[in-house]
Amino acid sequence: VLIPNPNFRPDLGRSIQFFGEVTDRLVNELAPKILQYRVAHAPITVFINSVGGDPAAMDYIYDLLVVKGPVEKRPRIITVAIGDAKSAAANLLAIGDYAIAYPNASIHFHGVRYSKLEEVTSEFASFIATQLESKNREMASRLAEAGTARLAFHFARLKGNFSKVRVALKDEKLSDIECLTFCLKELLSSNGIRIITKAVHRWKRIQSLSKEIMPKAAASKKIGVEFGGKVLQHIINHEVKERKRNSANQLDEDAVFQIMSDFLLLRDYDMGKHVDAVFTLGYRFKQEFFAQEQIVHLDKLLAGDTTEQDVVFEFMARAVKPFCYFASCIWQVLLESENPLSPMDAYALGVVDEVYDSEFPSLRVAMESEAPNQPNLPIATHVANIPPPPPPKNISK
Amino acid sequence: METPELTTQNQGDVNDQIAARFELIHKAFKGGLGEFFERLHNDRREFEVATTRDEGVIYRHLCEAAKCRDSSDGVNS
Repeated sequence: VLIPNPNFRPDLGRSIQFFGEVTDRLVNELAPKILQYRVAHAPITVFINSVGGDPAAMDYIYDLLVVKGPVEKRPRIITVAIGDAKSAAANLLAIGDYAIAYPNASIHFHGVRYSKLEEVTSEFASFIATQLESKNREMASRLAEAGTARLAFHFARLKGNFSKVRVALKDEKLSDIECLTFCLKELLSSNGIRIITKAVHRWKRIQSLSKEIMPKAAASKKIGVEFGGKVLQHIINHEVKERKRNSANQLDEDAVFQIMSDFLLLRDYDMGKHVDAVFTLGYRFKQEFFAQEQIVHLDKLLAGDTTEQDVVFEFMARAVKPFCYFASCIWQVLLESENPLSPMDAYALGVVDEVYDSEFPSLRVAMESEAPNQPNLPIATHVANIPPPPPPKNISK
Repeated sequence: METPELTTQNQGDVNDQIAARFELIHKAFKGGLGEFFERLHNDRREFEVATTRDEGVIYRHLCEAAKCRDSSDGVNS
């Protein structure tokens, strides 16, 4: 027996319909309803059937839904893809605190686009290109926040299989992330496999970069902006070495974008923006991220002086950050070029939490089950209540 | 107006609920979330098999009942 939990279920009575093209008109239609719902703080459901539209209009709706007001708390958002969830609408789906896809939903990610450009000068084109690049990074970072927790759920439920994967692939040194990828590939279409393979490749790079650079930057004893500057210097040095090794004769645009992208990813998880995510995941999935003796140590740290937060963070970050990098890499790939996804792809990549009418584990089921030590489906107790068959009668009589 | 129970819940509360639930699951299942879902899956299978078996029993039961009724009505069974 599942006990319905409104934090994980759509509520038609407190819902908005995000249907059709995203335009100012849609914002005007939805805004009054969202504002009204926000007063009560209870979850708001967003039903989605849209191919996207104007990124600015999308930003207005996003702000209305999730930005904390001066008085109000930030409401919990449940998003449901019932048909198309493409472009900006796909981003909205993924941003939900709990995201659901119907089995025939059509989900499609790509980078931010401007569709209204007509005559442009080269300066303006260059400005737009930089703006798009920055918008993409910002969106990837925003989406990674929601997607990381979903991917961590897969990590937690599949962790028990990792040792078998290592045996099957005859590679004891295979990282947890590679084992997770191997398990998830079973659910993915060829397109999904392409995305996750690219993300693993990128993750390996950022992982080695972090191992090489962060200790050097920490050794400088700098803090704040100066620490950021040190990290950036080391990334530039690393990129220069790489390019020289590949006989490049200049630091081209690709190299500069790579430097920026690496820096921002390290900045988010090592220097601030997503530090909360590291804490939340480390605490929620401590059984999966830490060994038993580490958990004892962590619990001691958590129970101790709150001024030692840095120590707790350092401890958690060592185990959780590689995983966060990986989730971010998936989102970076999703927001490049064209990425159509099946609902199962979306589930395995951490875009949605649940696909209706599928038997795949979801956070909702874990949360709604009556008692975790007595899984919730009755073992056909009504078998005992069926009256015995009637005594045989001699019907030939 | 008195606010309903849910109004006191924000994202932080939900995160705490999730952490507490996972802790419970880990206490009950050594294999954690993976074992929890495996057990759930097996139970569901068992439930489906049992339901199918029930349906067979009910069907036979109904057939028997129909035969009895038909014979008592004098209808050829």
